[in-house]
Amino acid sequence: MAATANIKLLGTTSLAGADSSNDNALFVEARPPAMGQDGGAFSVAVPVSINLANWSSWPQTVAWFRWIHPFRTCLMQRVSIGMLLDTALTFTSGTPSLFFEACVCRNVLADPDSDVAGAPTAINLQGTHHDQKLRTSFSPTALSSATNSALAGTACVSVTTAGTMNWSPFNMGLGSQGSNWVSDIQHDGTLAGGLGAFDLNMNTQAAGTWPLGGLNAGLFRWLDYTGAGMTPFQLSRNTALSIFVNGGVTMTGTLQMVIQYEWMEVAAY
Amino acid sequence: MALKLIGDVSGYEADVSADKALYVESRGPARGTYGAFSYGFVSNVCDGNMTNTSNVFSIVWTAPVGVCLIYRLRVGLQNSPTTPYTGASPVQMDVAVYFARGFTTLPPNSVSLRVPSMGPNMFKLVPKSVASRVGFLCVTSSDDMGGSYSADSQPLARQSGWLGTTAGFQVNGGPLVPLVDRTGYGQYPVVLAQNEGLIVTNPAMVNGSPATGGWEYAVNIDWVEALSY
Repeated sequence: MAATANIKLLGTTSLAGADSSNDNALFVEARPPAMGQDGGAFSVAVPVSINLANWSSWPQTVAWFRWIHPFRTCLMQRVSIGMLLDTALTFTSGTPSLFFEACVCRNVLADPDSDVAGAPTAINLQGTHHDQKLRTSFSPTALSSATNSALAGTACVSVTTAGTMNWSPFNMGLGSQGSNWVSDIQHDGTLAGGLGAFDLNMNTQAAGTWPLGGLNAGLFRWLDYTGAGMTPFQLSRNTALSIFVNGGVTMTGTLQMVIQYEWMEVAAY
Repeated sequence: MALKLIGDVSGYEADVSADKALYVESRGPARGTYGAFSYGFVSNVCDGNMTNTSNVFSIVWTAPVGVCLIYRLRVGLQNSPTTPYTGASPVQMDVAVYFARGFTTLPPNSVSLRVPSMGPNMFKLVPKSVASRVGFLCVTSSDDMGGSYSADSQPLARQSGWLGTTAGFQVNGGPLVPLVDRTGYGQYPVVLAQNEGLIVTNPAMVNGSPATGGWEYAVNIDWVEALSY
């Protein structure tokens, strides 16, 4: 490093200290991770309206975040979920509970097919050059590298008005690449675990109800790695985060779901 | 002052209580004579004139130098205690926050807007700091507050809620919910450069806008102004 850094202490050179706490503390500025070249911090939230009657086979993938950039590392700091019943949930049969699970898939070489029934809708980060940046001077997210599609990852959420989705960690329409990816968990269709998991009551509930609970339930910070000393979830090339639901319930109703991703893109971590 | 480190030369942990530690206190960003600020306000009673996708709150940084670091933005929404919406069924009232870049025209200062007076000590958390350089800050109670800018196609965050039909009903189950919360360890704040801002909208009223009665927004925002970041 060419420049010489001077450490400056708040306080005097005597042990008595000048600050009120007499601690002679070294004050440092709390900063986010060093980003390196082409780094940045981003946030996006996408709502989807889900016809719960279409959740008739299990499991169902509801969100998908795939990272394929070869040089940058994606630090997923927080994934939040919001849920609100647009119309009443009517429990029909089965066991009225759902497991929401976050699954890490590695060596994912393709996105879900776009031509299957209930195909996912990619979050459109390519509308403008600056979409979702927390600071305009950042480089564009690698999820929106419209000028170089070979480096562009994807973030998708499901739309289910068209019927049952045919893509999930268990049954993704990945075309010729479909057999290459591996999941961190051994999936047999009845699992209940992953990077994160929670159980949700899907018994009859009135319209306007938050299935996730009341107070401050607007966005449930589910996968949250922002605590002091915590290491964020790192996605390297061809790693994907899949959020899916699993259960045996049959129901009707309309659920508005919001998926929010907050992430950083860094040269190394 | 000699630096004292946790641990000794053998690699074993030292006895911290014996002061063999370097006390490091994590602080907010270096801001020089600039300051840290916080402000919360409530709107007038909104009514059926407010349509889908109206902007209900805006903060715009217009200073040519320095940056505005937004760490937290919390929003509350309740049915008016005095002139409530009392329709037959609740209506959905989401709130979403968008990054708005390239303001060319600020919203007009009309009677429906609540724009705080920018006094020299407004919002200050640090009494000795200079006055805030925020160029525009308001919450509206009528229709779209206006202004010319380019908003992102997707929100930074969005909350879904329903406006109940009883007076004082709190839409999100509590007085304030965070739309932007970048206070976690290692999180990068939202950084506003000149003529950039955040806008809060009501993006969807699935069952239509209430024709009668009113509701109120509350917005609380915490930010730091710095020469650079």
